[in-house]
Amino acid sequence: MKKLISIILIIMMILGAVACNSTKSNESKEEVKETEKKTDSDTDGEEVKETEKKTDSDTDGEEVERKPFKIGFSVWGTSDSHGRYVSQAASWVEELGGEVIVDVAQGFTIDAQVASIENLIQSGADIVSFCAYSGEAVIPKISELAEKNEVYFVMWDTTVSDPAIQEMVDSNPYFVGTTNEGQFEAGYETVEYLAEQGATDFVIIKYAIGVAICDERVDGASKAIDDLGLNLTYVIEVPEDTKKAVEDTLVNYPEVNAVVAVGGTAMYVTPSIQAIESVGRKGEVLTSGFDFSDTMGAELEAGDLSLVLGGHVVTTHFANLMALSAYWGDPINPDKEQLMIPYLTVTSPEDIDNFNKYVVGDVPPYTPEEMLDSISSDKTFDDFQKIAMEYSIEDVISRRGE
Amino acid sequence: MDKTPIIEVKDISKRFGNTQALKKVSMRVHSGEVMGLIGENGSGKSTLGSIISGNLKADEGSMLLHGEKYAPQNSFVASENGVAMIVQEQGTIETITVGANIFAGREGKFVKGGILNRRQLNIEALSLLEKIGVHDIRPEELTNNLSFEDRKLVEVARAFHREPDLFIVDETTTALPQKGREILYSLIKKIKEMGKAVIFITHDIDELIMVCDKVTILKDGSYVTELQKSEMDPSLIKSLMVGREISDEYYRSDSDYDDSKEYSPALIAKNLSTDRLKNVSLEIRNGEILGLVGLSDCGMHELGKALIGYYKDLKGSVAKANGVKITNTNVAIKEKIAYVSKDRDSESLLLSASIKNNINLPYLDSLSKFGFYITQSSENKHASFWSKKLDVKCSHISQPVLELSGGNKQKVVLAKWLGNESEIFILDCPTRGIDVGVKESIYHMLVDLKNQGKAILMISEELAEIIGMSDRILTMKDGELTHEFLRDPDLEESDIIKYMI
Amino acid sequence: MMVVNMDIKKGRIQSLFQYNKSKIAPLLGLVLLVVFFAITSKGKLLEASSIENIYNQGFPLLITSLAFVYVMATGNLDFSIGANVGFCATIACYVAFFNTKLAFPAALLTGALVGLINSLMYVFLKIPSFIACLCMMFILTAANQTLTGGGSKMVPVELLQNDYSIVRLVLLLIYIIIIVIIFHKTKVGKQLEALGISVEASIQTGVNAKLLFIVSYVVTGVAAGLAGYLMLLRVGAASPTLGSSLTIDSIIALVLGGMSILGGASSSMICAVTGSLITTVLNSGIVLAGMGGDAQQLIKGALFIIVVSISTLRESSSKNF
Repeated sequence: MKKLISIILIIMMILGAVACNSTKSNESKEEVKETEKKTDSDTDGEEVKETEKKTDSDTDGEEVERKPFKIGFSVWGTSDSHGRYVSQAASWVEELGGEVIVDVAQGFTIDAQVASIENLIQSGADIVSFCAYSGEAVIPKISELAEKNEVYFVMWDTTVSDPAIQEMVDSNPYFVGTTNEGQFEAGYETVEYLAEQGATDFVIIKYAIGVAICDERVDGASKAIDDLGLNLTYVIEVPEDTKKAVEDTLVNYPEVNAVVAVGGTAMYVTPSIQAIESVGRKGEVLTSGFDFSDTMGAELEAGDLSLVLGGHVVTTHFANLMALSAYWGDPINPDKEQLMIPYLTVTSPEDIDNFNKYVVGDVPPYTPEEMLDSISSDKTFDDFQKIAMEYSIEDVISRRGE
Repeated sequence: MDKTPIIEVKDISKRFGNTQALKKVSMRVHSGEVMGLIGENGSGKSTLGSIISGNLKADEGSMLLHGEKYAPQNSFVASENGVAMIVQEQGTIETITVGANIFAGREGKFVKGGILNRRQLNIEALSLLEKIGVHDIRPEELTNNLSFEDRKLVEVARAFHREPDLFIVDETTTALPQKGREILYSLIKKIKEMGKAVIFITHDIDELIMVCDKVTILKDGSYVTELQKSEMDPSLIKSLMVGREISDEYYRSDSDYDDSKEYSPALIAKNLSTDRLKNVSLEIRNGEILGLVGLSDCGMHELGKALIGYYKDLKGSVAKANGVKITNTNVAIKEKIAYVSKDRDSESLLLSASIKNNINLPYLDSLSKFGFYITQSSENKHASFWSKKLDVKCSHISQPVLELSGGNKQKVVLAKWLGNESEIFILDCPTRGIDVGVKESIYHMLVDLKNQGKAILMISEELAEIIGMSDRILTMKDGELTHEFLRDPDLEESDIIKYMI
Repeated sequence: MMVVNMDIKKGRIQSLFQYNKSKIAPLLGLVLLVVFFAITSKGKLLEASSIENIYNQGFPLLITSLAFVYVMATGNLDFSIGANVGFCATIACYVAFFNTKLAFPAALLTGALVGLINSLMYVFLKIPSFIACLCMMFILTAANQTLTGGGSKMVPVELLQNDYSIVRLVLLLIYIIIIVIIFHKTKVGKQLEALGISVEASIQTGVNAKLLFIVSYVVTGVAAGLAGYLMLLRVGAASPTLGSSLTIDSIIALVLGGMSILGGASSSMICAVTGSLITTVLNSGIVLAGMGGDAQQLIKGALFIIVVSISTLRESSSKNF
C-alpha cells in the first residue's frame, strides 16, 4: 500500500512537471506573439506595413521551396546561464516554421557527445548543431555520422585547427561551416582593459581538462601580458575549491592585483571575489571573466568585477541560419568559411540590463523577417558576415527603433 | 489468583515461503512463571519467540499483553511494551562499545543539551554488569573485541536493564560457558521473584527441567501439549518432541576401547605452538573417534583450526599420513580434511547462499567437465543427493541457508564435507545449538564414518558427549594437552574434569 | 501422474521466482521503460536504426558492468574502471600510430596491468580496495591528461576510415560468452560469490581468496582495455574524459539490475545486462520521444525513480524496514 502511494506520488510529480513545462513553453510562445503584435501596433503603422509588404513580395517565390525542418542541438547542460542562453538561442529559429530539440549530453565527455548526436539524428533531425567542447578530435566521427545519415551539421564556438580534420569536413557535402568569436583576441582585450584600469600582476584561472576555446583565450591573455610588459604571476588549473585556491595564491603572491578567469564566471569569478574579500584586499584586486552569470550585475555594481566577455549566444543563432540556408538548397556560406562573431563586453550593470532585455529577453534579437533576409539569395557570405559583425546590444536596440 | 496472564498467544500461524512454521499455536504465561518452550529444530519455537518479541509478524492469530491487544510493529515497540528477547545468534552491534550496546536505543537518558555523556553511560553500564555478576567486561571495550560468549552476556545485560515484564531467552545458554549460564539462571530467578515472566527457549532437556515451571512442547509448528513441573520427565519430553520413542542408542552402543583393531594414523601434528597453543602434538587415526575436551578458552578451538593450516604464524608441523604437509586451508581441503567450525553461521556456512552452493563449494573441481565447465544438472545432482542423504529439511535446494533451523544448517555443513569425500573430520562442537533428533542422527553418522574407517576429531565442551562417543579422549588446559583416556564404561565426568581445571 | 508432474513443475517455477525475484523485477522495469518510449516516440524506439544506436551507445557500459560483477560479487568496488577505460584508449591511440595491429593487445595489456596493480595494493599492501582504486583513478586521469596534452587526440586516419563494426561485434560476442561462462559455469564465479558472502567461511572451505581477488581486478582491467579500444574506434579520438562516467554508470547499472552493492548471492550477469540496457534506453529514448531541454533532466530523474522502485519490488533485507 505504502509502495503504491509512493509510486502514485512519483507519477503525479512527473505529470505535474511535464504539464508545468508544456504550459510554460506554450505561454511563453503566446507571450512572444502577443508582444510582437504589441510592438507592431505600437510602432508607426505605415512603415511596418510597408516592410511587411516588402518582405512578402521578396519571399513569395521562395516560400514554396522552404521545407519544414527539425534542428537538433547538443548542449552540455541547461543549468548554467550560458547553457540556458544557448538553448534559448536555439529556439529563435522555431519562428521560421521548424522544430527544435535540445539534448543535454550526459557529461563533458567525447563519447557522450557522439551518443547525443546519434540520438538527435535518430529522432529525425535534419540539421545537428553543436559546439565541439570535448575537443576537435570528435569532429571526424560526427562528420561521418552526418554524411551517412544525410544530415547537415554546423558547429558554433568551434574552430577547426587541425588541417587533417579541416580537409575531412570540407569534403563532406553536409558540413555547413563554423562560427566562433576571436577567442585569442578576447583574451588579449581582457588584459588590455584590465591594464588600463591599473592591473600589473595577473593570475589566470583555466580549465585543466582541455577546452580548446579556453586555451585560446589563455594564449591571447598571455600574449597581451607579454606585449604590455606585465607579469603573469600564477596560473591556477581547474580548482576544486576556487575560493581556497585564490586565497592561497593571494597570500603567497601579495603583489597580484588582477584575476582573470577564462571561463565560467559563476564558477570561478564569484568565489575569487569572495577570496579577495576574505584576505582583506577588496577593491585592490581586479577581476574579469567569460560567460555571463546571474550575479555579475551586483558584482559589477559593487566594483568587485571589472568586465565580463560573453553573450556569444548568437554564434549558435548564426550557425543555425547558415545550416538552414544549406538545407534549403541555397547556402549562404558555400565555401564553409568560419563566421566571426564579436564578443559582447559588459562593464556596467546597465549593459547587463540591456542584454537581458534585448538579447535574451522575450523577443529574439532578430525578427523572422530579419533572419530570412540575412540569408536570402541576393546576399553573399560577406554580407552575412557584415550582419554578424554588426551584432551588439546597441545594434539590437537600434533595430527595435528604441 | 492472578487471572490475567502477562502474555496470551492465540492461534498464531506463520508461513515462510512453502514452509508452515507455525500452525495455530496458543500459549499463556502468567506472572512469576518460567515457561519453557521446547521442540526439535524447525518446530517453530524460535519463530514463536520472534513473533512475541516483534522481530517477526504473525500471519494469523492474536496476542494479548496484560489482557490488552498486542501487535508489535518491531522489536523496539515490543521492548517499549516490556518484552525483551535474547536471540540465538548474534544480537549485538559489533562496531560500538559494550556500554553503547547495553543502552542502544536509550541513550536519551544520558543526553544533556544534545551531548551524550559517555562517562555517565559507562559508569551505569559497569554497575549493571556488576549487578548481574559479570566482572570481566569493560563498558569502553569495542564489542567486536569480545568473545562470542561475552557478547551474549552483553545482550543479557541489555535486556535485563530494561526490566522487562516478559523476558524471552532463545537458545542463549548453548552459547554460554558454565559460568555464563549460571549468571543467566540467577537472573531468571530474580525476574521470577519480581513477579515477571520468562519464556525460556531451549533444546536442552535437563536445563529445561531445572529452570522452568511449565513447558510447552511444539512439533512441526504445532502445539503438542503443556506440562507442569511435576509432569516433566526427560524421556517423556523427548518422545513428545520427536513424536516417537528415542532409542537408548543415543550415543554409541559399544562401551570399550577396541584394542584388537589396528588404528593407522591419518593426521599427525607435531609441536604445534601459537599464542594460545603450547607445544601440542597429537595423532588422529583412521577408524577412531578422538575426543578433545577442555574449557572454552583452553585453546582446543584454536587447535582445530591449526590442524587445517589456518594460522599463518603456526610453529610446528601438521602432516597427513601420506606425508603432505598441511600448510593452508586449501591444501587441507585438497587432502580431504573437513573442518566444521564452532561458529557455524559465520565460518562454516555462506548464510545468504543457497543450500546447493554451500554443499558444492569445496567440490567444484570434481563437478567440472573438461576441467572447468560446471553444468547446472551436475550441481543439482550433487547437492540434492547429499541434502537428501542427510535429510535436510528445506523447500528447495535453492533455498538460502539462513532460512533453515540450526540443526538443518549443521546438516548442510556435514553434507558439504561428506560430499567432498572427506577422510578426516575435525568437528568443533558439532552438536552445539542442535536438538535431540538431529543430535542423534549426527551421532549415528559419526559411528558410521568411524566404521568406514574415517578419522574423526571431535572437539566439545559437553563431557557426556565426549565420553559417550570417543575411542580416545584428550584433555586440554591452558593450551597444553594434559591427559589421554581410552574408552572405558567406568569413566566418570569427574575423572576428566580434574585434567581440565 | 500428470497432476503430480504439474505440481512439481509449478513448485519449481514458484521457487524459481521466489529466489530470483531480485533479477526478475528489474526486467519488468526494463520492459515498462521500453513500452513507455515505444509509445512516446511513436514507434521510433523499435526501428532498426534506433536499436543499432542503443547497441552503439550501450556496449561500453555493458562491457564494464559485466566485468564489474566480478569485483562487486566479492563485495569490493573498482573505482578506477572508468579512468582505466580512457587511459587504455589513449595508450591504444598512441600505439596505433606506431602499428595499428598492436593497438588492441596494448589496450588489453594496459588494462590488465592496472587491474593487477589495484589488486596487489589491496591483497598484499592491505590498502582498502576502495582507497587503492580511488588513488589509481587519480593517477590514471592525470596520466591520461598529460598524454593527450589536455585536449583530445585523433586516431590515425586509417583507423578512422575502416569500418570496424564486424570486428567489434565479434569481439563483443566472444567477450560476453567468455565472461558469462567463467562467472556462471566455472568455480571461479562461484568462489567469487562465496567470498562476497563470507571471506572467513570461504577460506575455511578451500577458496584461495587472494588469488580470486586478484582475478576479479584483472578481469575489470581487461574489460577496461576492451571497452577503451572499442570506444576509441567508435569516437575516433582519445580524450582525458573518455569513459570517465563508466565507473558510476556500472555501479548504477548493477544495482538497477538487482545486484546488491555488497555482492554475494545476488550476483549475476543478467543484472549487468538489464541494468546497462535500462540506462542506455533511458538516455536514448528520451531524445527519440522528443523530450528536450530542461524537461529532459526532470523526466529522466523521475523515470529513474520509477524504474528503481519497480526494480526493488523485492523483499527488503531487514524485516523491520
